[in-house]
Amino acid sequence: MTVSSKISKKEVINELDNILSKTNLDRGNLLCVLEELVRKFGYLNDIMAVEVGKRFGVDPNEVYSVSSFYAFLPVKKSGKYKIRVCRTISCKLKNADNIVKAIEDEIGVKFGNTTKDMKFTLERANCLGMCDKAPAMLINDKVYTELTPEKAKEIIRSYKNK
Amino acid sequence: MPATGFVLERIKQGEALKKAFEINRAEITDIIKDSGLKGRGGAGFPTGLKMYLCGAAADTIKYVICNADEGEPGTFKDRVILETIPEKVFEGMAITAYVIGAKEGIVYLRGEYEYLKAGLENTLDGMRKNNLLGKKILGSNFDFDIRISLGAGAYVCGEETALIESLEGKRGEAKNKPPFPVSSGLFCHPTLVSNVETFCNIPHIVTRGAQWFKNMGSEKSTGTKLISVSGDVKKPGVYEISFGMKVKDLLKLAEAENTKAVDIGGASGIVIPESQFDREISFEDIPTGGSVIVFDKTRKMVDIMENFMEFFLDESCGQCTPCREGTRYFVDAVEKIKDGKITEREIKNLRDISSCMKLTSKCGLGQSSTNAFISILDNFKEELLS
Repeated sequence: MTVSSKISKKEVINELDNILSKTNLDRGNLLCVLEELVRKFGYLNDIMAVEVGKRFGVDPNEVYSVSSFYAFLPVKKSGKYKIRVCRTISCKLKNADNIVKAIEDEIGVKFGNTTKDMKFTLERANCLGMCDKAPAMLINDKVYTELTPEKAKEIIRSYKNK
Repeated sequence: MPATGFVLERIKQGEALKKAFEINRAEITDIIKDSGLKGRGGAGFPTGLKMYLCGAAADTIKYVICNADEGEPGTFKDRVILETIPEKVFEGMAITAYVIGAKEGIVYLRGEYEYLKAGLENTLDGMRKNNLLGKKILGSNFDFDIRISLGAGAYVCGEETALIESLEGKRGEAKNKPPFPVSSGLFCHPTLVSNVETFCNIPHIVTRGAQWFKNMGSEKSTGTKLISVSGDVKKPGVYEISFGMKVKDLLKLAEAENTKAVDIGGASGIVIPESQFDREISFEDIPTGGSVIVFDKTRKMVDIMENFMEFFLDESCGQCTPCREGTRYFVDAVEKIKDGKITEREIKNLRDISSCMKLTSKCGLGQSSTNAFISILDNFKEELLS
């Protein structure tokens, strides 16, 4: 995945060609295509809304409207690694707040923000379905459970060099 | 308190499907109807009736959808099913498809469970190789295949009409019912949507019969239920219980100590105090999609209220005004309770707003989002308003 502050139209078109060589243009596949774009670029921007709209034959506003509905289709600049710490009650009971603090220390930005190098975005997530192994977090599509502040810091460090 | 566990048991693959091919479709529908199986996702709609309605709908294209958008706070039993015995879910879907006349099945997997996708695809491939999916399954004339579609982090998509919208590539906003998905669902074709655990029950009922199933549970809640237990217990995890088990017995199994309150049904469920631990988990008494969260005596009830209401404020899709504005009002009310500044009049208002949300929200999210708040208010009034 390449996350940079500037994504060119050409890059978007190339990636869309790549995605659409494996997926057809049924409207039902819109979400899947947007998910692939997020996987590649980390977030969705106006260029992508326009280009995806052209391919599917829907208005760019409609593409934006769909994206903005879903927590996992970010429509503002977002880091390469999205750290999502579960905020729901079972994790909260197991001190998820301390995990957040530890990660904030480690990456140097507060909850809801992205690091300057566009590497990490720290977000809260609703129930991750890991309540028996609380507290839990996701980093992109990987799940980490039974966290302690030390363990969380270690995991984040392992991503710093990726 | 019999240990009746079978839902998480492995079965001989294809056995139930083979048996289904030997029986005619109407008969399978009758067996499922007779078993009393109800949807395990929370709403508890009779599965046999759903099969009958979808089977009776006249269309050449129909869909079977497995709702794996397990998002209710405190629920993780579908995750455990999908990690351990996905083949049984898929076989249940295939039997259902055979009965209603569908050729395509879709698993709507929540985005948070993306890491399960590769394993599920593997299982599907294996089943295709063994002719349990694909063309002319097990030598019959029945074609059926399953694909996995990934959600993108929206709790409301667990509601079936919202889930269908999402599969159509739209915002996951719930729609008015009727029409029900069984008559007009995905791309306006008849669609049967059921929970992961429900599909898991079907192969067993087909092979062992309705009476076997009815011998478990209570009169109106036949069979067993997977319960995800978390919070202040020594042994969190998934427990398979017979319907009708008392809350206090479940607490014993999970080794809960010093328990002050138990939430049953997650953020949209209810929270009960010790005086009600004799109540039963069943459709007759306290129903649940599978979430039980335990709180010990060190916990403050207002914190639980706050967490749940913030959850709904976050997840309300915003299309129905009572839900969108109501959840905000309730979050503000929690702040006032914390500051000790809430008045009797405001509490009466909250109850009115809660009734209004129940009556006028399109989907289950808005209709149930104040359940936990109101039950905490009723059951722990002294603590909250002192």
